[in-house]
Amino acid sequence: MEADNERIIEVAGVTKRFQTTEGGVLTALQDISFSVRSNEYVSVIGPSGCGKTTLLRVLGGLIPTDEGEIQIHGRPVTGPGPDRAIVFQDFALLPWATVLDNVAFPLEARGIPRAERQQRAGEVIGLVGLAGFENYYPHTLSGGMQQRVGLARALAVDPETLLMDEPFGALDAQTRRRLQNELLNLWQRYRKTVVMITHDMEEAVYLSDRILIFAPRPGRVAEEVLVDLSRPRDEHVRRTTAFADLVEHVWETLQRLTIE
Amino acid sequence: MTDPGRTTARPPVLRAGGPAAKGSRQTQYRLVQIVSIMMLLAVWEFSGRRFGSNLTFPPVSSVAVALAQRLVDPEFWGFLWTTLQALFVGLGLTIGVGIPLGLVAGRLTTVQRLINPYLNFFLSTPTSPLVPIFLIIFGIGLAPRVATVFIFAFPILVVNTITGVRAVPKSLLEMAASFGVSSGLVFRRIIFPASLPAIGAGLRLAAGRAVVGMVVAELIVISVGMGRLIQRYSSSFDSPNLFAVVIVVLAIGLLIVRGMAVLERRLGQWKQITNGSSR
Repeated sequence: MEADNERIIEVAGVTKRFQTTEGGVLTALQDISFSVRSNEYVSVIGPSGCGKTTLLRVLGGLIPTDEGEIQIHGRPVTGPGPDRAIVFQDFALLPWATVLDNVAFPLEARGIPRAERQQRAGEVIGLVGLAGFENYYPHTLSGGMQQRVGLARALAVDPETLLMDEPFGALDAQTRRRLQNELLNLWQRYRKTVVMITHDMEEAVYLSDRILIFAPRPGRVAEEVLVDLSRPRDEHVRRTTAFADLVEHVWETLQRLTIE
Repeated sequence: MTDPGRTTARPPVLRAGGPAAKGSRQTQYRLVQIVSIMMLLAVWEFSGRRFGSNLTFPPVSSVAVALAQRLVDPEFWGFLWTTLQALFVGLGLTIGVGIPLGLVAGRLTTVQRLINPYLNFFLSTPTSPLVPIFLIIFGIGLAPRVATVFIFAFPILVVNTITGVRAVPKSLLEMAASFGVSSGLVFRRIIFPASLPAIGAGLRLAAGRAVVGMVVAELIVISVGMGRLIQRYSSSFDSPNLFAVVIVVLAIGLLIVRGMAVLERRLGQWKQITNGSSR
């Protein structure tokens, strides 16, 4: 834990523009700067169109920046890397592959022998509470279970940083809350650096150490909220005034940004 | 462990099937079909006896007798083999060339642009006039007939395979990119399985066109196999045998296309099931 204060992700002046179909230019991210410490849980929240997902894709190395630089462990990000894994909003599971093969897929890409990758996949499947479902196909599982597979797949490669793009956005409220609890437990046990995109204010407060509130058009960091709720947390924290105050603060900030 | 409403998940078997009630409806349809075929045969027999003759329109009983005679005739089996050779070699070539070419063209726009005009040409114009040209190029024998089957069947399989590759979900490709998956593995684990349903449909359509190509080649230029028998019996006004051979040709077509339809269902399994579920 001594490395906890090390800045693992440094985002410096990142700007990303897109050509619109009408020939105009959309600035999705405007001069974004922030850093994430090792094992810190940071959420990015903001109204739609604020470039949240673009930020995650830039962090994941899926698209290049136009200006500025992202460094992870002092190395500039030029593409996807084994130090990061993404959990996708739409799960992005292979419909023709079993749960086990889905989770083992990135391991296969790394040339890990079959027996070893199946064993490793089996372990993380157990971790996300899907033991016994290894040979099921995604379509036989509920949305919540499918996202557990998505989470297991990301954990299987044992990344330093977990990038999550509205991971529970496609799920119903009960399932979402259940998965939030399980993610919280997993994170508190195994600790990873997390950057999570979300539109759910309570989710952001419940899970995060820090919340970056984004403003839209152009997407930029409008405010940074430190979540000083003690760890380890559990469901009880949701009923505290501190929790309610934080959610309220995020809400007011978002309100102000939308009116602007 | 599980999410609400899904305490008992379905078993992990890939099977396309419906509720039990579907079974009885199926038998009903079968029954209606059998009755309609029997009625057709009865009308055929009656009108053949009443209005036709074995020189013109024969009753079904004479055709049945002729068919039985042909089926015990070694010469007939030799002719049938000649016909099937062209069909099988042509279809094999179609599959062996069509699927790889479609997969490559689906990924590389340059290749697709290159072959598109030819595909459109062969799909939209009558291909039959090419058969005499093949005869001149390849001489008599198996080659011109294989070429005909190929040129009939091949374009539709390529077009379908391209469609399948194009329909690969972007999100899966992005997922693979995020995990640094090599393009070879992306092809094997994502692009190929994702395009299998469309390839299956392409195989079924290609098989149907292959049978047409087979008949056209033998009938209009290269007089061998079933085509030769059809010509022989029609010029000698041997109607029962003519009908018998035509029935065999139709049966070949039906069997091949049905076989490919079964294959199509197998290849498209994941898609049918995925569409059937709520997502």
